[in-house]
Amino acid sequence: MNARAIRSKAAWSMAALALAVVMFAVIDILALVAGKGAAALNGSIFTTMTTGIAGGLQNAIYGTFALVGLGIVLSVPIGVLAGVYGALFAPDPVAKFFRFVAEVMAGVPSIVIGYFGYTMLVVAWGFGFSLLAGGISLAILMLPYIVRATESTIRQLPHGYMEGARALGITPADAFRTILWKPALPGVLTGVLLAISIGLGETAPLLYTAGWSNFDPNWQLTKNPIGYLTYVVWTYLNEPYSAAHRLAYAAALLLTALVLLLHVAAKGLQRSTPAQ
Amino acid sequence: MGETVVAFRKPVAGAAGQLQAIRAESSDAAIVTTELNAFFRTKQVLRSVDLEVAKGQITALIGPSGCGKTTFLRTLNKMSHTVPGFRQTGSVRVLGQDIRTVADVETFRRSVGMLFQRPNPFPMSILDNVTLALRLAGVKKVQRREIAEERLTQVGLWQDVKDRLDKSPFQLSGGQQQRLCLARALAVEPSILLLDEPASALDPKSTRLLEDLFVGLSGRMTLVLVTHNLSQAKRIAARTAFMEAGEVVEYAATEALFSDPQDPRTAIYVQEHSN
Repeated sequence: MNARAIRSKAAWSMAALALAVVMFAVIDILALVAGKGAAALNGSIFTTMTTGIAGGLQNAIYGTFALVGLGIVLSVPIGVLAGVYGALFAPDPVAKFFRFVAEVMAGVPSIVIGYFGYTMLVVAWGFGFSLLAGGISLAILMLPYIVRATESTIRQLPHGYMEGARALGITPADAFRTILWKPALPGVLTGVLLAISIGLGETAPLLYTAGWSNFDPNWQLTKNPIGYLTYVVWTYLNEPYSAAHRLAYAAALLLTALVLLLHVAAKGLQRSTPAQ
Repeated sequence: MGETVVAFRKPVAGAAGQLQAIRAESSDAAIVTTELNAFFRTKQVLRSVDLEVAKGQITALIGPSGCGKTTFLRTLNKMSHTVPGFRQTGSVRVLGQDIRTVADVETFRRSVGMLFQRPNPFPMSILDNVTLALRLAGVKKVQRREIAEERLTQVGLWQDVKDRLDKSPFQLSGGQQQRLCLARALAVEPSILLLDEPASALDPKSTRLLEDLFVGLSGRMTLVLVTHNLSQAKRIAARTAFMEAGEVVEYAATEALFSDPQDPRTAIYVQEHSN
């Protein structure tokens, strides 16, 4: 073997080793969560509410769906419209500024959003720890991902679509309505799914805005604290009781499974994007 | 005496350009540009282009890559104007109207159709591709269908697609796709058709088919063809302009431009690119 071949082998080995380290970490986390979570998982987790540090997770599961659901309802229409505007209608400098804002927003630490939610929504506007305060905070967190996914998906569509439409005297609005939305849809939905998975996994903004409740959501928007899965993971692992740990691992497994499911769905959507 | 003629042929002042524009319009020109300069930000891409395109003929624009011929073409239907940083000075009159005074650019573009370098059918059925612009213009369904059949027949595609009108256009060959795009452009009945190297991605047989269609269309409409393919210009264009570095170096009857170029730059280009 000459020196070049040796160097090549060495580099490839290092790359393979790096990959192994990453894979090990991922598999170890998944194995831990799956093992401990599966042991804790039983039917009553889904059908009973939390009592103290034991019981089930029904309240947290419903609460998570309610919070993320409200987050979607608030962020998807605004995010998609903003993304379409940025990609098709905004003058160039506005679009650039707009992308910058979306990037900054995506980079704001979630705890800061939580603190904003607390001072603004919970205290100043008097929502209290509630579904509304938590849902709005999640929406703020999810918004930039949806805006960016929408905007970049539309920008990456073949230029020929927009050019062809322009040359035929079709307005940008009509072009979007009749031509562009369909090929853009899978990309936008992928962005929405990823935003949901980010919202699902968030703890920090909710600690300050949603509070916690041992009871199922009562569909009051304000003044009623609401439970969610990440709270259980965050809080119950610190308790010195094995019942609390079991609950935390069950919640972690549910969250991981949901996020995994969303990512698989997103991959499926990407594959269904019509080939050009 | 001789000097007067030269001054007439290549006006330097704006007033002379104005005069030429008026003259040209009375003499049946579809497009007249006068002292046209175009810029992308600070870069000048067209330099005082004075060009008259006669109605009902095919006019070809040739020249090396980056000479401004495509920018010129895209300025005629105000597509250049959608690029951030684009700026125009001088005048472009299309069908008698200064393009700067066009209030409704969509209606304007319906009278100046365009075919692109790469076929760009929309991601919808073959039929919808041809009828979309008609639908948006409020044409009734039965009528749209008639027009579609007429146009697809006109471009020689009807027999190939009549049994799969609701299918995706991406199954068609490149040449068929380009003819579909031509049918789509013709559906809104433009008076002018701008062709931006429309055959450069196609095989020789499809190219010939398309060229025959262009020849068939001339007479009824005005065609402006940007091409890299000199023999294509020779085959179908009545007049040809040679451009270099944003300028029109020479503009003459195609036959004359190729056989007896007046400018040494034209002569060199034509010689180097003909085989």
